[in-house]
Amino acid sequence: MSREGDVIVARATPPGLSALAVVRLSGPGCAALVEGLAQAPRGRLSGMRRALITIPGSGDMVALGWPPDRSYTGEEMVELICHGIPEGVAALLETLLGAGARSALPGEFTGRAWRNGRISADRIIELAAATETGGRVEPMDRAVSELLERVSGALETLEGAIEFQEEGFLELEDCRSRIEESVGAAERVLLMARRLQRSVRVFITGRVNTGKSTLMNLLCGERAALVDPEPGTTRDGARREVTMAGKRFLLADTPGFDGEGLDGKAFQLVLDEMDGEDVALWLSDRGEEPPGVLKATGARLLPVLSRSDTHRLEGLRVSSFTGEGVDLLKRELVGLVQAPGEQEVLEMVSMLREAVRWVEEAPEIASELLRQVESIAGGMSGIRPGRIAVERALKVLCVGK
Amino acid sequence: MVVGGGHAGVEAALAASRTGAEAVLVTPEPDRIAMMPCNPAIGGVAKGCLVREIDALGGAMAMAADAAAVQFRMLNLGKGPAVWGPRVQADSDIYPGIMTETLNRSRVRIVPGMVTALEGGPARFTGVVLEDRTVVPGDAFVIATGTYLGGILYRGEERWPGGRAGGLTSTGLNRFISGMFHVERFKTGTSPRVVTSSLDLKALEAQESHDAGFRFSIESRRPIRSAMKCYLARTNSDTTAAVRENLHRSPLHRRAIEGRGPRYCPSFEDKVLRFPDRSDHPIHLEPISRRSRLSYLNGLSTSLPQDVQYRMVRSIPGFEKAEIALFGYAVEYTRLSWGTFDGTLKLTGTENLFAAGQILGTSGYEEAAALGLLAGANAGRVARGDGPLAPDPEEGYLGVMVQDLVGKGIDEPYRLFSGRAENRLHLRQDNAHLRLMDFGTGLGVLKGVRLELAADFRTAWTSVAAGIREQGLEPLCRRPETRVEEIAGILKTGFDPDSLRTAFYDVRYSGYLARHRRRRSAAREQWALAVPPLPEGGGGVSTEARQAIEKNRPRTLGEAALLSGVRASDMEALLLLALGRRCST
Repeated sequence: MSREGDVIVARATPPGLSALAVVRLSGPGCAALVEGLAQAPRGRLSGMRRALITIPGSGDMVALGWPPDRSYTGEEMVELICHGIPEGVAALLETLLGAGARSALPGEFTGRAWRNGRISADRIIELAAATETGGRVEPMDRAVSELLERVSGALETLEGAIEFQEEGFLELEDCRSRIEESVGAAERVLLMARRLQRSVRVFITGRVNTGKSTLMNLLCGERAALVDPEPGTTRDGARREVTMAGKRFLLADTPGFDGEGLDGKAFQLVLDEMDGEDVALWLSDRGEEPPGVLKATGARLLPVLSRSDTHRLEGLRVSSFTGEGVDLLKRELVGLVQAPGEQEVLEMVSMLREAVRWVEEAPEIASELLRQVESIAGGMSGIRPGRIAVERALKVLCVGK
Repeated sequence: MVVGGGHAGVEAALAASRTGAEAVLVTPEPDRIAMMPCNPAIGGVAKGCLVREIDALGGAMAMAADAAAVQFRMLNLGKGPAVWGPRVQADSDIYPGIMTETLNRSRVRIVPGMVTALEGGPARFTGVVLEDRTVVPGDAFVIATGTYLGGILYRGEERWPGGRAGGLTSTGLNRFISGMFHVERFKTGTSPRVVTSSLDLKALEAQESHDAGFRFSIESRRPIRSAMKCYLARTNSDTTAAVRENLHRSPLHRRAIEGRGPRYCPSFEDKVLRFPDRSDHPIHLEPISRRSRLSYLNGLSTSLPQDVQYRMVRSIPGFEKAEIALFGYAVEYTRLSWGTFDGTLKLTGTENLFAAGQILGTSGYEEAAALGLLAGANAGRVARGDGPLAPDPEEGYLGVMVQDLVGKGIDEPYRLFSGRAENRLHLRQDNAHLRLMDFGTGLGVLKGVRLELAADFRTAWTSVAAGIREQGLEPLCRRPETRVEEIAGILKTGFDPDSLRTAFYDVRYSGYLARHRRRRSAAREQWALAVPPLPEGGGGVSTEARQAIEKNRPRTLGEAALLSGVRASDMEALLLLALGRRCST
């Protein structure tokens, strides 16, 4: 991972149509890279400098140069402020990537800022929480600290009962209720973890007339017209954010795969948009295999047999008419997606439940389990709260933030 | 050459002798060897396990405790075997005699005398100087002076020099040690002894004893049988009122004593202060010996004046007419500061000077004896030209204790708890001889009959473990409701019951132990990382932690984690910085 020194680039403003968009570059040499493309004199963007430049293929824009000691990341940085037309921004990114920059990973700008001492871990967590909850700061940190506090408290009581039986201070009954409280705290962490998860896009694909839009309605739990078309998306269908079992999904209806003319083009645009992070439901009422173009996107495919009231094929059967299989499909989706850190939290919940079972008969086993929970939640050997939160926050942050 | 004849000194001299060295024990009072100046009990949770470990390393405490036992209890019997705590009430008249006999049977030479200084140094010492200026030469030394090193006794307004009631104090050696090493003062205390016949025993709760065929030493021929009773009493609001009204007369709270006292096993004054809502503290009445008319009041350690001690004791139901024969007192003594000794118990900067027992900051006979054994064995090795060895904290409580004393440092008298072990489920009293056989033979202290018995046990355990595996009984063993007798019934061949039990517990805990080991190896990797340079402006490390790191310059994350001021969140930031740095190179 020799990534530290790369010039990274990403769009810093939200996707979609807007008046202006900001594209951000960071890393040693990024000013020279932009100067080269704009055929501007060397050093035009070094220091705190602003320049009106022209990049071939993308037109005029404002470039802002940041020196390492003043920039967000603590590295040399350039911000390009251009028109917010999605295609234009995409073309600009294309040009920058072609000139040697690399797409930033989620949270990489902030990661660099943190590594260079420009931002504290606490701030990252707050930033991430604020980003994901629409500005409301709800740090995950707090839930994890509460869990740690509960577990440490339970552990203390338990150890007291083990070491000082003769003092008669503490009863195992008391330990049990304290561990039970810890289970509750761990469940709250789980909820927070899921809330902090970035929404996963689920594309509902299939041939024309396989019941895609109706399924979309069912999954959203609304019968009425659901559309709330996202600005900047022209030919593709409605998109809607829903929550299932605490996890967030962005459901996207798509035009028929076999559509003609504009529909066909629109489907091509959807395909271009999809990547390995996405989920694609492939609807078919004939058990048809998903087309190669869909597989080629790398999205996780979930074949669904629609109109199950009309046939007897075997598979994940869903009927928009009877509602059969909708709950099952939801469960599949929830299982398919894992919030960052969710595995650890689930493990903690199950260990705490096991500790409750052992507490009276073998408190030493309950204690061992609590210690492991403590070390996952707060220990060096597992993931400390700072780390759990920072790692998650870095993943959750909008690219370019 | 061992200075001091307490529990640490005796084991040190015996262990040194077992390594093949010519051991000499210097003590001013050869008739007070291995005295029990505090409560007449040996063992307990974790402590009992430590006694088994002493036995596994060829030491004497376990056999002596078996022979002197008047009552046996297995603490925590209702919980799992990893936290069972075997404990005996020992006849404190017999115990020192048994130890003296053990010394007499060994090749240890006892030299009467008070050591005032060491000859040679600062790196290599050549002998000890006695009060009459005679010099006894030696090749390696163990200081095991207990509370006698600069000991000062306190009771109420009274204050007098001494290591224990009626004992001497070692001022010359105290000056010598304090001049050479960084030292601090600790304090501990003891309870009043009452005349047993002055009590109304019927008003007290007799404590059951468990005679389950237990013995501390693998070499003891017969299991412990209880001969005497212990009783449980409870204090009340009159007792705590007596304390509260007289706190101004306590040397501790008048700040006459500067040393830090123990939080666990606190003085009764401390209990009253720390638990103001409680007045019913349990007091255990323990007979001092078969011959003695006195009983020890475990739980009522105090240094209040005599009249207050009378008021406290007589407020307890059943104690209305109690006669106090010996009053409680506090003792303050010198101990070596953190960083002055290493994991082999050798003093830093010296080649042949070791220390053990309370001078290292511990409290308790068992802790002292185990440290004495290690220091003595290492002194013996050094005298013979071998290097000293450190015990592994993964394999025994001795290692856990040494790691805590050397690594973390302590700020109060250290008592061993089972919770201090990271892998408590493995550190059980039943498998001590299996865990420490290799270390004991490597150290050169496990020999002869003891070694043969340990080896026999290992053979028996190996075959019974194989039997359980071959017959597919592991899942059955893991079920909570399965009892060891069931397994014995299924295994057809006659197995030694002790090794069957150990094999059974091994399987029962195996899943949890495996998980511990996985975590442990992952942690070790991280702890070995170098401390990264701290970026300007923080990088997530707190100012307090930054200062601690800049002052102490730890090399690895593991060392940094032990510093006070470095918190979990700091370690996290350090870890990420360390990993980040590794990524970029």
